[in-house]
Amino acid sequence: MLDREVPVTKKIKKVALVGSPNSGKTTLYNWLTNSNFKTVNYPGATVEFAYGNVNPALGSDLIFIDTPGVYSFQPKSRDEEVAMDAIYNNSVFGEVDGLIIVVDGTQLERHLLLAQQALETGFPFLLVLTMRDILQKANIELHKEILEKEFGARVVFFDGMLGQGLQDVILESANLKKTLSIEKASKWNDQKSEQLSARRQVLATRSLPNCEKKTFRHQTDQVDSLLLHPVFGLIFFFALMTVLFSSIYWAAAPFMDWIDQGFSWTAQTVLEKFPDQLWAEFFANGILTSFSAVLVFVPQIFILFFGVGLLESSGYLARAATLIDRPLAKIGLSGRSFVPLLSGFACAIPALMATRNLSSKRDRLITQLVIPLMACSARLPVYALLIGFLFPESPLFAGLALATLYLGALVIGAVASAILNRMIAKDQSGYFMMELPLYRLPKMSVILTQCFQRTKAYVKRAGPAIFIFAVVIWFATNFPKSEIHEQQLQQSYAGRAGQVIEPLFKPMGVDWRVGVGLISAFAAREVFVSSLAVVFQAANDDEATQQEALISQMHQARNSDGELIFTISSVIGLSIFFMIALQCMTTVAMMQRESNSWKLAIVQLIVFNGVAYALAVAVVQGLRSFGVA
Amino acid sequence: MARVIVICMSNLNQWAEHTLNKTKECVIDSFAGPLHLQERLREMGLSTGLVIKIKGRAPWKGPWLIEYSETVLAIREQEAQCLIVKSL
Ligand SMILES: Nc1nc2c(ncn2[C@@H]2O[C@H](COP(=O)(O)OP(=O)(O)OP(=O)(O)O)[C@@H](O)[C@H]2O)c(=O)[nH]1
Ligand SMILES: [Mg+2]
Repeated sequence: MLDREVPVTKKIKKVALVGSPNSGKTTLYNWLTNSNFKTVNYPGATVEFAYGNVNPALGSDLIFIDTPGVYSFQPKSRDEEVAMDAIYNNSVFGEVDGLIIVVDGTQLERHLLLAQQALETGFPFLLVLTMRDILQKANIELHKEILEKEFGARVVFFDGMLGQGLQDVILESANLKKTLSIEKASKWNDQKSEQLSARRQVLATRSLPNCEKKTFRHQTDQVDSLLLHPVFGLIFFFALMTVLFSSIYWAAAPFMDWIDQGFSWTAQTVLEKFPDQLWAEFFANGILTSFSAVLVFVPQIFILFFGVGLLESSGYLARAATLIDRPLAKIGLSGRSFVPLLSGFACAIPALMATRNLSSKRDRLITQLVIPLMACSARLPVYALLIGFLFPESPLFAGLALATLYLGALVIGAVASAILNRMIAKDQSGYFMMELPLYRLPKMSVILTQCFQRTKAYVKRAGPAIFIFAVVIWFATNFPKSEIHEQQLQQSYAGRAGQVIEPLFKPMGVDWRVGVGLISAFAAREVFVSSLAVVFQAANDDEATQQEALISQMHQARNSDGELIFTISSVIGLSIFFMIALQCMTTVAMMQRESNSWKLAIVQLIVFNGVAYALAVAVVQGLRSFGVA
Repeated sequence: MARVIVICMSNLNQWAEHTLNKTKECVIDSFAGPLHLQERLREMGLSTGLVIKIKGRAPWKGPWLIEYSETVLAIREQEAQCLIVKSL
């Protein structure tokens, strides 16, 4: 993963940050290179290497490489392999010139293992001790000279919160010089492991002489006694998930109104100022309508990212993974699947990558296959529109309906994974061991920056598709011009083509116009909403906002037989279709990359869409046969 | 005298329970089971002679929570069985 375009020449020194999971590598990397990579209080957050030039303001000509956390130089999961590849055989510049072994100062006894292994590799290295602020807060002095003597390497303190020690890290990195030939770290036998472990204990005790046992974990332990409690812990977990997913709806409402009103006002003003002008009509009814239909949901997406960000930085994710490991194991997943699945609620792409820290290939595969079923943020506008249609007056019910759809995604994911669990041969390589990190108070500035970035990326990603479909659908529905206004849509290019595709969508209880929306959703799911807005001509001629206008058009829309299109059954059918359909081609490409199989990615594409269609049809027809409109 | 737990299938779900004293502490006596798991456990800082404290267990007989060297590790029964423990 490229941080930014960095000219890589042979002369520039490349230094890789290596360390145990959650030791603060990415935090240090961000300071060094002025980057904004996601730092998460969860062991195993980084799953891809990144590289970047040292922040120019800090001088020095160095390239730093962030790597996924490793417990040793003998990789046991995909992310650990990525880390080892990054230092020995990096796809951009081969072998690195030196290492920074990042050691959490509060975890010396365990984290020094990597320094012991680094000695065997021949890489010149420097030890960076992070979490200095925590040591200082506990009034604990760390005698770094003991470690310097032991490892024959420089030791630098670094405070990830304030960035103190950054200059020293850069200075010492610049001084790293390769003098030995580089080798792979050897596998230790039991005896050697024991010896070195005893040595680490001695080192930790000597360098932290005034550190009593359990100095750092006191508060964390108290919180854990509640949050990992067999009864209360579970109640908290489910309550938290419900609050997160339902708050998306109600907390965003006022902001959505502002955006909607802003767009409506602009569209109205343009139409009033330039009556009967074709370009004004195109701008208001095509472009503005399309963008407002999707952008109005941006606050919801922001709140989703914010909620996930809070969870990520608090340290709770590792607890949630632990709480849910057992039920997940029953259906072929692992507690380690929880974080990829949760990030699947934001976007499937990083979620698929996050599966790299699952140790078992089988668990990884099953997790990858069910991730696209999680209700990603691109589905949010679609759900919000459909829910807005069903519960126009009640934000509480709408919020609960949304939480139900999210829960539904989990249920469908669980069913799919249980089926896969029976189909895929078992393997023995899976295990679940999860360190529970210290709880930390989330740093608002970091979370908000990350939220803004992710929201911006979301808009940027969907933007071009929304624009292109706005243009295409507006022209296709407005031309050729019909003499009779009422027949415009039927006579248009889109209307004529629509007759051809209509039989496919009729069983789902919808007409060709919704069909156009469903097809356009393969460009980006959100485009379904913007396409509907254009195709149903949801420009507001009266006082209503764009959003209200679209929903009111949906209430009135009838098919060629004069039947209402949007009814309870067809809206439920559409929801089910969107819950299962795999419409995101980037996900398909990523699935291919992560599973290393085109066949799998294509089978998944066909099966998910086939099942989505069949289930939607079955539910609509089933409901109608029971008399539900 | 220290009592070593003999791990056998019928003893599943009982890891460490016999060894626990009031403080719920026990000591690692040796390692067993698949080699890659033994290796990983050692890499995570567990070693023979190390005193660990059993803090509890996640619901539905989920992972054990064990505390050692300033950290808490959640670990499934199956993997915990690789740690042969004895009472202090
Ligand atoms: N208090 C304190 N927290 C820190 C410090 N450095 C990092 N953190 C926090 O520790 C957590 C982990 O930091 P990361 O930088 O993501 O750790 P990492 O080593 O990249 O972790 P992986 O990618 O999972 O291997 C985050 O919540 C950081 O905010 C520090 O010096 N002091
Ligand atoms: Mg990281």
